[in-house]
Amino acid sequence: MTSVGEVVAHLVAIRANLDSAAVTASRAQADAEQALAHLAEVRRGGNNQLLAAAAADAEVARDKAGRYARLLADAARHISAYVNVIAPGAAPIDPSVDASAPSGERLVTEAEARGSKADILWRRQVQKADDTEDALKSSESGANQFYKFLRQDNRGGSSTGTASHEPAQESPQIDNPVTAVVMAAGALAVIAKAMWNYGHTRRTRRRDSDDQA
Amino acid sequence: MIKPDLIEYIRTMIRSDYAANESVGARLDAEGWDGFPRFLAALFFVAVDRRFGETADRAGVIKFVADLRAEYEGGPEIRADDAESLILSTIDPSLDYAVSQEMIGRVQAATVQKVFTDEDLADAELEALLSEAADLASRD
Repeated sequence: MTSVGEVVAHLVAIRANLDSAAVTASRAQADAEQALAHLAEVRRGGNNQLLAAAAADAEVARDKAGRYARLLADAARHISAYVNVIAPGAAPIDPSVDASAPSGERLVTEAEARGSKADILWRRQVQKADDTEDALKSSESGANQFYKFLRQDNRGGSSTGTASHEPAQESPQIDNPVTAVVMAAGALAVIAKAMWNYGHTRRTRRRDSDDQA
Repeated sequence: MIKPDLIEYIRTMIRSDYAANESVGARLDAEGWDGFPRFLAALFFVAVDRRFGETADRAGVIKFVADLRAEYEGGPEIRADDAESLILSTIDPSLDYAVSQEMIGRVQAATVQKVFTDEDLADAELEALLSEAADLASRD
């Protein structure tokens, strides 16, 4: 019979391979992006059909490679979330320091584009929130503490209005579908752990509410 | 797509229009702050890039953070080492950081406020910066 430990070991190995593949795809994306930029330079003023076709192909390749990179990274994170449910703490908790992580120095040196850099930084922040089980909403709360201070400080310390601007500490809502998937995976792990820790309380509470219903 | 109210919230804060800011904040409390963490992160990126460019200048960052803490003294605590490492890692993402999300939010908000108010930005310039951050926060 296969032990949980063996299953976990297999999954962790699969995850590492996926991370590695994600980096390869991200590199391909960065290379295609760079090729596009160089082609644009060369083509300036010209109208060669072969070069136009090369640019069109590189553009498709860039977009698809980026998509593969995201999907591979998402698959890896889903596996981590699952592994951490069946064996808490067993999956890599900080892929950003992992050589295979699709973020950080390796990618930045390859993807110089401003947008890519902003994406990488945002993904890292999301990943850190995910890894530490610190709700991304906490950053919103931190910001609003600061804004509240500014408003009060500039109005002679008077606290007006009813808006608390203190968001609930719930799993973050993200517009981006990719990060939403990442966060959904993280939220799953958090919820599962909470259920284990407080299972008895939850069952009692549910029984109570059922009784009242 | 970033909610227009989120952009308005930052715009009114940067312009020190606190009454308007409070009413936008109340609207957001009602409708939800969805997308705010990412928009704030994008604003922070734009602000850090504007102030420091592509080169990590540790001394310059330390000075900036010292000024930031002095300027907003009495507000929510902004830890110097946290702010420095977050800014440095934004300039050079090969540098890592270990900062709580709550502190990240404080540092981002304060940095955006300082960078965007230190300069007397023309309306069009402020709109361009807000718009760039909204675009960055809307990328797939």
